[in-house]
Amino acid sequence: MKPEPDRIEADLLRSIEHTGPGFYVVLAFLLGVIAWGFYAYWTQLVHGLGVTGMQEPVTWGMYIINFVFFIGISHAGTLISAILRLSKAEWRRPITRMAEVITAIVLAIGGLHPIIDLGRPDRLLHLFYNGRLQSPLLWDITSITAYFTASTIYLFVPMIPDIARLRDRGVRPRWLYEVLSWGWQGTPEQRRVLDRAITILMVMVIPIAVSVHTVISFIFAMTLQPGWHSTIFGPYFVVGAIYSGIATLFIVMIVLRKVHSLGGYLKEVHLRQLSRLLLVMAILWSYFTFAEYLTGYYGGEPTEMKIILYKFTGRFAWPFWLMVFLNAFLPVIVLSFRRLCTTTGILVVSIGVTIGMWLERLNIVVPTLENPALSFPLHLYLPSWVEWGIFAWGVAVFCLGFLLFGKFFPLISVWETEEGLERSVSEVDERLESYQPDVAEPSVAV
Amino acid sequence: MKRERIVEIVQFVSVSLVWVFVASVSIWVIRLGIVSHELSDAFTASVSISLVALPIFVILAGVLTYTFLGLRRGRRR
Repeated sequence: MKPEPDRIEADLLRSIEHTGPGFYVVLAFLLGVIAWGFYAYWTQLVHGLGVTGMQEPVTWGMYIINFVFFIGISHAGTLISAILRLSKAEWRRPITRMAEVITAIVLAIGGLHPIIDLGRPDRLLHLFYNGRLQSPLLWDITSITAYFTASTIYLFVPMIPDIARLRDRGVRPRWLYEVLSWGWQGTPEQRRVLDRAITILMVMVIPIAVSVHTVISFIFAMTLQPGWHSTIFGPYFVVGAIYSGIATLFIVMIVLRKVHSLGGYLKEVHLRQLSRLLLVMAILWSYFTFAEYLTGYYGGEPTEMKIILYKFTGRFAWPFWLMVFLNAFLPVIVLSFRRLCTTTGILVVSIGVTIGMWLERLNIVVPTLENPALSFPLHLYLPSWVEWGIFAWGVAVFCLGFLLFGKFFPLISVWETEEGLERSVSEVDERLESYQPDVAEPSVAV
Repeated sequence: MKRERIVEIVQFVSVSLVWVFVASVSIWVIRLGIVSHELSDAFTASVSISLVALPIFVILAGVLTYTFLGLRRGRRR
């Protein structure tokens, strides 16, 4: 049975208007983890990078792994949302908002990791005074800043009608909703402006998102290091980013669906539709991984082979083969069979892919550095408690971001859900009608 | 009435800050381009990258401003 518009509004705004004790328990727990993360960072700030597991020649460790990992997850959001909107996929409506929030939060977390990796954050100022635009590191900063700006605007603009709704319902803090609603009254002229702005943004966001992870791959691929110097790293990173992003989106959706009782809006059919995209990305990722390692292996270049064997049979064999299992075999097996492709199945796969994609970044960053071309004394990298503490901080900030966002704004777009109820059936009918072959007048045979 | 006025001022300031941000990014990128020219350090590459990066920020701020002004114009009198 289809719900009435009033019911939709009440359901989707419930978590904003009513706060249960569970909210404060989770908030306290997350703040505790964040405090621990700050203590870890403070320890690093006082004692220097010596408290981490990094040491020459392994100068990039957990922070750069997490940087690539978090920025990768950010592709879940704005990119997926833009593609679904652009392709007019009707099942997008309960998904897009959550996806866009992921991007905004995760980009902020990921973007801080290179600064943490610097050890001395004041050195960031060198970038402003002495930066070189020819350096891929500068491209990273520029493209991540552009993506963050675009994603935040793309999250905010479609939220305006919902913010105005909260303003009109007198939800506190009222000043916040009054300021952010930008005088929205829902007039036809305002709707036209909003539609046009969303259209421009969604077209812009896709190339920006693709450029971000391509550029991130360049900080590896532009070096002459074995295992990194690869022409397919750009698309390989983009595919991996979208893949890990969708997996994280699934985890977020399934958890929030349960916590906020959104099962009536975020239904199994939505999860199953998106799971097809996850399956496609699993196959694409497997293809790229196969191509990347086969070409390296077939060439048999000694320094390249050293890295490959280090991953296949050496110290990194277990993270490598676990990555292959979690990213290639598990998703394809579970998502290909309808009986296995349940909500629980999708959740298990998504958690597996998220872990697997973190392992992928570990397998890219560390083995190459542990096997340098020059003869360095061997250093085996093991992250210290400080690095784990900062990683936990990142995860906790992500959860806190979602907790607070869900407290102030609807996690599912109310106006788009209502619009879908009012217009989507007739629009889809019209579209289907337009796909049908036209019967032309038979031409007269000469 | 006074409250409405304050809300409007805050909205104007927030949209203006986006332009301040865009101006800051532009000044930074242009300065790096000038430095690369002074040091004869791949100036053409710097210019090419600037030409790709800067319009993105300008268009984003433009879309936001268009939305802000469009929504104000579209209000019922």
